[in-house]
Amino acid sequence: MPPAPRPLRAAAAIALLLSLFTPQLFASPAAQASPASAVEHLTIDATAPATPFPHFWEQTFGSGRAILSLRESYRNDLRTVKEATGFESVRFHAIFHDEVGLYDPDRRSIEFAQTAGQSGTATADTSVYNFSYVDQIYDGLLANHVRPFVELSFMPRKLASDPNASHPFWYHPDVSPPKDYKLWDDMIRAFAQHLVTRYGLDEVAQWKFEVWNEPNLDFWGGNPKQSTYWELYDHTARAIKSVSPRIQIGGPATAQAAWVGVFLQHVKDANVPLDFASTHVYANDTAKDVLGTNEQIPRDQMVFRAVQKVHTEIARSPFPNLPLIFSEYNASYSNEPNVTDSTFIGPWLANTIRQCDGLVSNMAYWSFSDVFEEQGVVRSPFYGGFGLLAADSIPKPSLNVFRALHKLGSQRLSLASESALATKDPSGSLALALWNYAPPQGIGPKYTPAHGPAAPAKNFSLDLRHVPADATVEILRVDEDHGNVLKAFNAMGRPPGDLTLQQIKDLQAAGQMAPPERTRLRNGHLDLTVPAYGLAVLLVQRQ
Amino acid sequence: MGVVVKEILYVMAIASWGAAFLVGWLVPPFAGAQAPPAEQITVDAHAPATPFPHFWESMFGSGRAALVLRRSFQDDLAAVKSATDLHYLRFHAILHDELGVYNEDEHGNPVYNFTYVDQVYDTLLEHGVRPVVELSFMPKKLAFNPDALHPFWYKQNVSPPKSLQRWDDLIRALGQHLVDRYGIDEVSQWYFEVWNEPNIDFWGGIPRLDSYLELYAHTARTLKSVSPRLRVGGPATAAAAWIPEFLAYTAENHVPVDFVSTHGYDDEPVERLLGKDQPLRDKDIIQEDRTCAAAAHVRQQIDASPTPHLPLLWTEWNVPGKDKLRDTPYVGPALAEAIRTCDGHLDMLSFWTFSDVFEEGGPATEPFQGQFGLRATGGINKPSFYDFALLHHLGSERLAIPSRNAIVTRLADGTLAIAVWNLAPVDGPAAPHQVTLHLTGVPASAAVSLQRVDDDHSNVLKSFTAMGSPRYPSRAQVEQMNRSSALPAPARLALKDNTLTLDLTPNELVLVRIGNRKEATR
Repeated sequence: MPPAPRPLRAAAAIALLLSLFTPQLFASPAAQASPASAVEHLTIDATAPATPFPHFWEQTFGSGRAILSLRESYRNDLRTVKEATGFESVRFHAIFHDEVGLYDPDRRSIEFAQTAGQSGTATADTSVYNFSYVDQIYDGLLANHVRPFVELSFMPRKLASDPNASHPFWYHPDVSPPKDYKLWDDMIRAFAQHLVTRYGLDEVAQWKFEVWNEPNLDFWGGNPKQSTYWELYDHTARAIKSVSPRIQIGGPATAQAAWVGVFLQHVKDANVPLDFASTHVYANDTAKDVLGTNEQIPRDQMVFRAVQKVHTEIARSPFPNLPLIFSEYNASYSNEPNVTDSTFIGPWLANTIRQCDGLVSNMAYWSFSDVFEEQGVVRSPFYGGFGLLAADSIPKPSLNVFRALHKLGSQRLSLASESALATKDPSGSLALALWNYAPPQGIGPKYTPAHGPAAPAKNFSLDLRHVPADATVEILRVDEDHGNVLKAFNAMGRPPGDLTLQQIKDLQAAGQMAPPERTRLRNGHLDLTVPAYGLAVLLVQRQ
Repeated sequence: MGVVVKEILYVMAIASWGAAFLVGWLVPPFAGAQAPPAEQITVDAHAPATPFPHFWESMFGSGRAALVLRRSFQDDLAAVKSATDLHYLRFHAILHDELGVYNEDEHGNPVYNFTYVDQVYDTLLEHGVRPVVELSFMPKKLAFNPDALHPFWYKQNVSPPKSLQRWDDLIRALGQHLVDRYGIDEVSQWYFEVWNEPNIDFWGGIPRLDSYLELYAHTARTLKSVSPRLRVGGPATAAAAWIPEFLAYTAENHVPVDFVSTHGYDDEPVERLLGKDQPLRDKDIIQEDRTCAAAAHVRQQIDASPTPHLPLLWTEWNVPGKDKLRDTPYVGPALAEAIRTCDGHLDMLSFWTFSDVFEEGGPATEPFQGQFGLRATGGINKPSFYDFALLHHLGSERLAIPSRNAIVTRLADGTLAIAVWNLAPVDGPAAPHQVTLHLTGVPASAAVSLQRVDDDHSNVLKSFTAMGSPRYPSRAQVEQMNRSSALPAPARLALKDNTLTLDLTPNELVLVRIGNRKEATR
């Protein structure tokens, strides 16, 4: 189970949040008149008091929908990200979508033209549920040591109150409520019971089950959305718990950090089971949608603001200790190549981690791979897809960012900086993250080429205490010149599609993590420069 | 009427129809009666032989294109590739919308996307397998009728294009893309086949034949405009239809054609496969012989056409599917019978399909539904997998022998590889059968080995039943089943007075290998 929220840390974070609105900090580095870079002095004491630092940003990842997990390309990417982050579970849509074939009560075997009219070839399949692909999907995850984070969606057409309620995504899931809640409850029970039978309760009790996806947007056709979702939630949660009270259930899985407070009140009033609260946010969501205000919240603070808001709602709810899961987050909900394909993601993610620590149990980056079809078949690897690996398993800077941040320790040292995190592991070795955040140089679906750096380089002057004065330091960098496949892709002239086999190989190589730099402290001191959109993770050995 | 008299009457009728070659297909006189208790086969190891290309195992059919991307498909492909001569794989629907190949922008201009096409063919080539590119089906935005959906689970569009010009542009772009990506030396070894079974509900053109011939002419000329080295063929018909019409049309109109392709399944009616204007009916040819009777018929049609040199690719067939027989050891004798009777009539016989990763009727609901493949859902080796594995060991030359129950072949090193089987025809009796091989030209102490597939050997249905017929086997259960069904090392036997007697249970397939040297003494 995730640790309980820590009110003191939350309070500190709120104080920090307030400080961010002082004018001098509100100005972005790119907007500064003078390019002269200031020096940030940081003093870090390895023996200073520390707080637990669970890696809440890399335990769960989102991915393309259920059926895609049968692809070898998906599984290759899964293994790569598992190796880089050690993540534990993956969440995807559409385990109930018709292509998985779970619910098709009228199904009859196909009669081939060649054998038309012959007896004995067409056997009627009269069973209601077919778990064949469900098993293949979850078997495939478990074989790679990743558990499912089961999002219970969408509506099988033959169970739908409106078989034409198709979502605009390329795979057109049906988003209508069930035509008969008895049939829905039966399916949920059969589904959960099948999983317990196949994998054992001790295993399935470690999974999370989440009711639907973003019911406050066009993913849910109930009307009115909120009360019909409550009905869906209540039925689903009770059906799941009737199989075993140990199965963990949660919701409301909303977009834009919506509904959590009212949802918890409903859960209390209706006395339905609930094990966690889940919701989503993307850094380009608007304050109006997320907070109901007219603030202009910059991209490096939006996720934190949403997390903080929901954290507060839970703290004030009848379930103040309920785990909070952001089951989707990213720097953009749309395809923005200057954001998700770029090293921008390094400082953005590090700063988001810095702010959200202590306020949330788990945040699932959407998504680990661009084996993904919501907008159709990918044509170019760098279209601003969400994944850490582009099509053809080309590593993006974001993969290297996650890989580097994975090296952070399990305890956090308090540090007064908005561009650094200091952590240590139980052995006393330090792991520091230093970054230089700047807003994206272009937004929207079209890539905007850079004309020079987005901001001045940032100079850090580090003094480390209680480590050997000449300790070895390993530096992992992700920036314009390190672990940045986009640079190689731009140098190729950004071919619009149909890469050659050689180009794919070249990009796969170019996307690898840069080899670590090695240096030593001098009298416990180190000067380090981080360019704009740069992240550096420093590993300081205790011995 | 006695069976012999009956046969004579048929021979006369067939001869008058001008198809004496069909005589060989007649139900043997003893069918329906008690089989002879023992059969004697004499084999001279040094007898003259004819080339014996492994036409039955170099090409396989499979589930549609998008399924190639699945891990389960690739596992099955690797497994079948390792057990057979699999070099070519054919599947439907490379142009189906789920691969995203054809789209139109907001101005209605075509937009091509070959991302998944590349992933599909990359995957095959990585497995050492080349595609038979079946050019099908119609992208919805290119369809004359966007609602012309086939009843298969994946609901492909079977309409003709709304514009043949746009179709040609797509085909040209696809052909050029493949040549650019893989090189002409590679792609010229592929086969391009125009559409699938246009004579039945896979093609919505009206009238079917004329509209297909138009599609064929456009497609073939367009591919040749990319490179004359690309090999194109058709008509890919069901039930051996349209061959004379197709070849007359291509000759008359100087349309390129590099191979003839068509389909036929053992369990189709004789009249459908051979036509009604010949005297044979279902009772006259056992199901297991019908595909090859049709192949012989088509071969003759090609020989009589203006392009008699064309190779014949039988791009779909399978043994009879009645009573889930395709999951049982029956496949072995039925397959061996097809090999015996098709030899010499065609160039490729493509078993539909190599794997049950297949969705034409929707996802499989249990492992053994009598589907077409050699591996059941979950990667379970069926008896047919082992049947193909045994027959893969047949040699490269075939010796003429009169038996209907054996194929005698020789390897380059002189080893004899002999398949012997006891077919229980779907519509006939099942009885034990004894075969005695009399060998000459073989040392008395030659090394003899034997492998078999039958009800009790390499028959996964036994272990499946023993574990309670799990509808959703676990991975461990699949591994256990494959372990218990795996072919054991060949049994070592010895000739007795230069003979070997085999007692075959119904639907047993045996492979005997006889070395041409004395067994090494230890």
